[in-house]
Amino acid sequence: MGVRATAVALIIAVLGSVALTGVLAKEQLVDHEFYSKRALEQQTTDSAISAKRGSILDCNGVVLAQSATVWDIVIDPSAIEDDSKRAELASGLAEILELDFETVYAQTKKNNRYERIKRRVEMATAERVREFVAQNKITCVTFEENSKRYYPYGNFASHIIGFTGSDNQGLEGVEAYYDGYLRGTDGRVMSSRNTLTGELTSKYETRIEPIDGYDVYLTLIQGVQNFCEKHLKWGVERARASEGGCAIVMNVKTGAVLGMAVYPDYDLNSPYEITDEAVLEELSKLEGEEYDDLRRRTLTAMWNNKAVTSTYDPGSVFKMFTMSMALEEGVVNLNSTFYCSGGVTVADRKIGCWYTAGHGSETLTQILENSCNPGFIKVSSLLGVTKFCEYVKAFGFLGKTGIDISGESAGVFFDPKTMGAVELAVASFGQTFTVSPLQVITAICAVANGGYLVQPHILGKVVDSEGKTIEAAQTVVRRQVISNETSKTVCKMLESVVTNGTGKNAYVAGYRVGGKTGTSQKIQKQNETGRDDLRIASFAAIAPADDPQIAVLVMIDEPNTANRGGSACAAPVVAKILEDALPYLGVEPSYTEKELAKLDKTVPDTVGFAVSEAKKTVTDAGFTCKVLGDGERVIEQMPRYGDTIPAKGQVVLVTEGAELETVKVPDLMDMTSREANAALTNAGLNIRVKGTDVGKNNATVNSQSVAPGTEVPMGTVISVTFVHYDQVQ
Amino acid sequence: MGTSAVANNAKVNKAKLPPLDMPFLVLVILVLISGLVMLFSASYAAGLSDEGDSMYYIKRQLFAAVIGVIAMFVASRFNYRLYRRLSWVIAGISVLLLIAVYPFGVKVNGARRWLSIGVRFQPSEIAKIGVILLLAYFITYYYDKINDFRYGIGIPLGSALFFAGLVLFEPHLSGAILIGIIGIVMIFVGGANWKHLLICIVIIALLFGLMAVTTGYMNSRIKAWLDPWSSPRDDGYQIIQSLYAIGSGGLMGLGLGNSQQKYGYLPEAHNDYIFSVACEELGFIGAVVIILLFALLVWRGFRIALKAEDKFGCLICVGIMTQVGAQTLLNIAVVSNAIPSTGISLPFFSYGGTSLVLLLLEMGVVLNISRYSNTEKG
Repeated sequence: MGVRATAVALIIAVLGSVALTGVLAKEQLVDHEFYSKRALEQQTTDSAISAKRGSILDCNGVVLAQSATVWDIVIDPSAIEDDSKRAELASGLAEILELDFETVYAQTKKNNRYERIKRRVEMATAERVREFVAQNKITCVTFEENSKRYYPYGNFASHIIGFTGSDNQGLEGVEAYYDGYLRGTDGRVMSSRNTLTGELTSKYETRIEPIDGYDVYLTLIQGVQNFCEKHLKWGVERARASEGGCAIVMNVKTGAVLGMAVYPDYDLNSPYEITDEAVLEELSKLEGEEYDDLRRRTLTAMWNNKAVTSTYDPGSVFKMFTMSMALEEGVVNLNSTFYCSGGVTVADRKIGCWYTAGHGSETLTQILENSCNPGFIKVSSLLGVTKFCEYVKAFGFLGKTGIDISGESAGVFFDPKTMGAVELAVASFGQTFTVSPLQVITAICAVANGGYLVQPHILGKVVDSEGKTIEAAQTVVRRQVISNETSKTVCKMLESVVTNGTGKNAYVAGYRVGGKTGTSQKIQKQNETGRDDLRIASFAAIAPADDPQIAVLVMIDEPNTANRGGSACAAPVVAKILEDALPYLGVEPSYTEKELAKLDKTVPDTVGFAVSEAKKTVTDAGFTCKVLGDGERVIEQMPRYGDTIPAKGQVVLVTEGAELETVKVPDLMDMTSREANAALTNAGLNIRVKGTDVGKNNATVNSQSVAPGTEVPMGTVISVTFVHYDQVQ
Repeated sequence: MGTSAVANNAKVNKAKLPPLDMPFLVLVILVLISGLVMLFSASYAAGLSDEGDSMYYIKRQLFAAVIGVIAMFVASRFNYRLYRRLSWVIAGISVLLLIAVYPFGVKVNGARRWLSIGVRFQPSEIAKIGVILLLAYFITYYYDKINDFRYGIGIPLGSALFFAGLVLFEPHLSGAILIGIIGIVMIFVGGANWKHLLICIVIIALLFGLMAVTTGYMNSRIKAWLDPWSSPRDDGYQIIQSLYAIGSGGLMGLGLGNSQQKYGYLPEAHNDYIFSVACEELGFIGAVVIILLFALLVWRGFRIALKAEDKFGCLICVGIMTQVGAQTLLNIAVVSNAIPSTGISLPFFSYGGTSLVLLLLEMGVVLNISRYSNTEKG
């Protein structure tokens, strides 16, 4: 019996104890790190204090993207006592947050401590939840601070600005590229969590303050961007282009992007929404992987900034560069002559001119005006492969421009070693190699600004939350490609293209515009599809031609109209952009008398008409109109029927029971044409411009047909004579 | 041994009691104090959250401890030989209480283990004492027929299993196991044919194993034991939290009172899982010290049993010390996930007033037995 009791005592007191000590040694000593790390993870809350993301602004400080504080609503299901409380909470939250009751109710029943009910609830809604929670003495709801990105202009500059993801990280555009500046540094609060009382044990709390993100100012100008978008849309729709298009406006001297539009665009506030109905219909037929795949492809294409990422054959736009090279190298001069018979044979290969009848005998300027292929084949043959390739490289076509936008492409060019005569001939007019629209406009800037290849950029400056400038963009000149002189000559030739040649559609009254058309075949896609009518219509312009400030490139991808050329599809878009953008940028128009005559229009007859009809007649004729009195019919008009006044002039319509008011004529002496126009328009009068010098810059008023201070009927036409004093100075 | 010895000792009792075993008393007091200190720490957070008073549990436990110490003192002076006559009565009462649990028991977590008559207690606690006394009685009563299977094993094992069965179907698995272990150990130490006993144990173990795999309740516990991380939110939750507590203690522990797991992560931190909190706060060193204290207590208790004046006292002592030792081992094995979870408390540490009072009372019985130790023995 003693032996047996001793055995039991040994088993319990020695064997059992030793065994358990062994188990504990393993857990406490060997696996200590493992367990304590995991325990600490659950015991401490490490909550981030989100830094406020910086805003994105245009160069004048117009806010294009902004963050606001919002709240994530989170519940702790384990802290809810019973089902009736659950139902009460779920119905309250579902109602305020506009969610499905069943979903929320299911969340309240979950067996965990953290359920996010809704993300990014706006302040007002979050306040309602707070009230509801307070009224019903609910303790399991917490509000986690978060932020939401707002894009006040929706689709505006969507491809430039880009958008952010669910964690406020930049995903596209400037939001992605400058994420480092915009994001800021999140702060943190680390504390031990007490799940019984919900209190934080403050002795373990560590707080690191967040650093707010910087504001990023772009070089973009809201107005210019607007013009680009508006007119590009018009151009794409007009050309019924299946692949949309893009338009870029750049400061030729600094390389600053003033506007960059891509169409179709998308709404930055809902970047995942597909609006293309054809795609939507196709999507509705698909499911599973196929659905996801198409959706993903559609979205990727929609977000793609094709102005920067796509490449195409530049086509005849490239002729301005071939021209620049030849002039710079001195292999041609303005007196050189050429002959176009409609085609030319290079190394046994016949290459036609677009004008198959042939341009006949041409000057150097004329081959550009006519966009004559044989002419440029000749020019390039004079240059030779080596020089040609050197310049292609110097103009920046072999590498990326270095713009601060992600995904830039650089196109594909020949290897100079294997480039033969045929390749050179075709390349001289921009075929069989590819470049990006951005590379083209950057090279145009070099042609226009005196020969300097600058690095294009979209960032203006970076400013911290206290207003201190962290970084400011500087003009980066990469090299001088051509001389000042060559630059001037080519600009003049480009102006001639618009005045006399294939670029007439880009003509803008009051401004000297230079430009070049381009029509290129989408060779690769044609090969893939077996079609031969896929084109890219483009037009590149500089303005004013005598002192270039801006360059514009418009590209219309796959027009479906009868004429798919750059002249028909792209040039009018450029004209519209320039017409709006130049005055907006403060470039004064200077009309020639011929232009002014064209601008004057004859006032139609409206006397006796019903008011609505009269109004329509006047506005259709291109005038603005002002109605005096509230009668039904027009009894008198000013200016009278048959008078000629400038377009957009004001016609005053007097209705029954009203009388023609009189106004005082202002003093216009020494005013510029713009100022005089503005003064008269404000007074309710019309201007008629006279004088031979009127087309020149700095021309001022020398005399006016009615003396200042005279009372005349509203709408009267005042003739104003301008004189230019250049010769005196 | 017989009535004469009882009368003889009664006389001595009236005169002057022999001294009790001082080392055992010291060990009991040490374990009790450690238990109370740990309970204070472990129940601090739960008290605040459950009852709004962080001292809620410790106040009650201290009260029970005072009652228990008095009970121990009284029992240490109450001649244990008198239990021979009382054993039927106590066993009878405990059977009645166990049966009463079925209609009148208070249901907690799906099991009827509690009775509430003024105080709330588990009849299975009393049943342990009942079994110990009854078996000590049977074994000594049929000692001359000990090699007869019916008397040596059949009657004592049958009655132990009867008690265990009543407890098992409350259901209170750990209580039943404990009663089974106490019974088997007492029969074994009592001198029964060990081969027969071994066969019985094997049969019982097989039946038990069959039950384990057929009932879902136990099945899920075994699964949680083998891989707690397969269900970290339900079946595995408690054991994972316990391991976090034990593991984060390391060698030296976080310091007394510094457990983080007791703040709502570890369920029953002041009850079955109090040892995990001790491990977290006191580290491996603290845990070993506690185990050592229990081991010494059990060792000393068995020493008292070996030196007991008669077989009856010896068996009671063995029963009580087996109860304390086995319960301790099972508890620590459960919280450290060495065996599947059974829901067993740690003697002297876990919260529970009646349990503590009864334990101290049992310690008093052992102390009383120690008074009549035969120093030439053992």
